[in-house]
Amino acid sequence: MESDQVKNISDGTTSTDEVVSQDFVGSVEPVEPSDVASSVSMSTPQTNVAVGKGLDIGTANILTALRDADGGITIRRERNAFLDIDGDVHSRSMLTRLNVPYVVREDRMYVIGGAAFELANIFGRATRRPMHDGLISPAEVDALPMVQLIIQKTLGEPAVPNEPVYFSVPAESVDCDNNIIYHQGLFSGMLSKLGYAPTPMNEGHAVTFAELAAQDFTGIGISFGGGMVNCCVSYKTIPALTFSIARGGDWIDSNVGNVLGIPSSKATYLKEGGIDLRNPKGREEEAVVIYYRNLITYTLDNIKNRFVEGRDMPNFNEPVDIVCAGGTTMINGFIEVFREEFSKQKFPIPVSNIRLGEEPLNSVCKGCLVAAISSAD
Amino acid sequence: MSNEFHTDVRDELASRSTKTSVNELRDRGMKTVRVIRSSQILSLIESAVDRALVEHGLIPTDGDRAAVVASSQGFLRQMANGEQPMGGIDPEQQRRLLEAEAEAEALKHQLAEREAELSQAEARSAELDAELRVLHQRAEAAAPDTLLEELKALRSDIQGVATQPAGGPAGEGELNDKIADLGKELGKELARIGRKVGIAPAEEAPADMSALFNEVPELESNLDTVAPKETKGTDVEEALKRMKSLKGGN
Ligand SMILES: Nc1ncnc2c1ncn2[C@@H]1O[C@H](COP(=O)(O)OP(=O)(O)OP(=O)(O)O)[C@@H](O)[C@H]1O
Ligand SMILES: [Mg+2]
Repeated sequence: MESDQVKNISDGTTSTDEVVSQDFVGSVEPVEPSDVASSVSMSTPQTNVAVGKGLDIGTANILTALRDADGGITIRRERNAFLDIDGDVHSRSMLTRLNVPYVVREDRMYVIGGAAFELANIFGRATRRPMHDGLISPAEVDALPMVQLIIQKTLGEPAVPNEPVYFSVPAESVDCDNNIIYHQGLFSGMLSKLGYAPTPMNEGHAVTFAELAAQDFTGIGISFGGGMVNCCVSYKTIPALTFSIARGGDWIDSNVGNVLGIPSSKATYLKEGGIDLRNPKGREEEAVVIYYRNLITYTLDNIKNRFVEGRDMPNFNEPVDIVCAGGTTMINGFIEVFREEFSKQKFPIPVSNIRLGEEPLNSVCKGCLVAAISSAD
Repeated sequence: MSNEFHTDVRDELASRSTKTSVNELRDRGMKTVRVIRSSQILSLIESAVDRALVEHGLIPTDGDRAAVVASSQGFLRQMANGEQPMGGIDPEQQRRLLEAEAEAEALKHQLAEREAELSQAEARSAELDAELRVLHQRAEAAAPDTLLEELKALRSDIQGVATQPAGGPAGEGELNDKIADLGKELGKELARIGRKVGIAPAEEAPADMSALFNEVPELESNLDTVAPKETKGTDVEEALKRMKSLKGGN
């Protein structure tokens, strides 16, 4: 089904940098006219009653979480990417009919979000991803209108003027000199311009807000994303330690691509194609497992080291939970392999339960939502 | 030893003392008595005078000592006679003595002042240490926003104190330095906690970048008609409830 369709596309596009991720396949599926009608009616959704939104600005994905009238949660997700194409009036209406978002700028058309990947495959082109290793770079100024549109599309209009929005930002990195201040300032500025009252929130901290309520927000939250791993040790809602590692899904892809001699886009496809980390089949899958294990032990080593050298670490007398979230945890067997690597370590604090977030892809935006609604209370 | 004063001391002692017979003392149950010579008393007076002069920063000459001893004799006599002291003392010596005494008094006063400032600084520093410790502890229970606010307020408080003009004697500079150090320390603490919470303190925050987006032109797009992809997520009611109870402390 979908995956076959994608496979055919990606096999023929070795020059593209990216391939569509499976969990986003389908966004350029032609829609029936009735769907278009319902889409239009949904285009300015104002379903949220609670004031406050959560926004996850990730290297790979941008997500918004908002609370509906019935207390349920609506999640809107878009890929953080775009592709410029030659376009005319005809293609514009065509794209609209296909429910593909575009924007016209200086006579070029830019397809934004997940659809960009699929068109990139069709045209044998590479999408542009404005963020790397969790951050927008100052060199990407010309990509800002596109990023803003992606954010606008997922966030919608503020429910009230200056509606609080908490947006995720990475922590300082242990292995690269990341410029968080610019990134944070830029998105604060953008969100203010969109009529929101923005507050940055550490990504790992957001995971603890979404997943550790039953533990009174005490424990360790880790977001394994596309560009980074973000980790937060929290004690009763307060982050005692946060750091990030400039390795994530992209790092796995490029390394697997290197050792196998394939483009990283193919490695992404391979990785997302249903591998079980506990039971790799063949050399290619072995390669994915090797880098996954490496990423997990590197993360655990860093938490351990920070605990050992940390001055103000809380004393956890009771064992705590470790919750893993983010797209990179979606692979089969992730949590089992994490537990296995954990058991090889002498961890500095007692740990009771190692588990996946309830909805690993949504943890960060939901944590931001919890913070936003709580701030408005 | 200045023999010329010896007779005076002896006379003085003789006039100020009463005679008691050995039998009388025995009747009062005494078996032994302590004896001091008038020359020893004189030598005690002289060395006390020397010490006092040296303490006041004066190296006594023989003349000085003679004058002061003479006036102490006068003191002794006047006091014995119930007269006001200082009468009949060489006015120059009297002036110097008074000066020395005033100087000593001023020095003592300054010393006391500095000691007070120092202990005040110590107390303030201990107080701030305690506040910091409390904040550390509170950091484990309070909501991040309130914590940051409190730290910010505390820091501006301290910076306010530290930047007050230093006018007093030496101890005040020390006090200000100490408080400024503490302010810096708190600033670092604030930045550190801010970083952890994911909020940069005001000073570190970059210039308002919303200006960057003034330039973003209104672009033609179909965003108004293309629906965002939506899915339903599991609710966050439990998290909101817990958060509320932690914030409200119940
Ligand atoms: N089923 C899957 N199996 C393996 N990896 C997956 C799967 N689905 C998504 N991923 C990976 O998850 C990553 C994206 O995760 P996520 O959306 O959490 O990242 P992000 O938040 O955008 O990035 P970051 O937080 O690092 O800035 C990509 O590397 C993607 O390849
Ligand atoms: Mg992320």
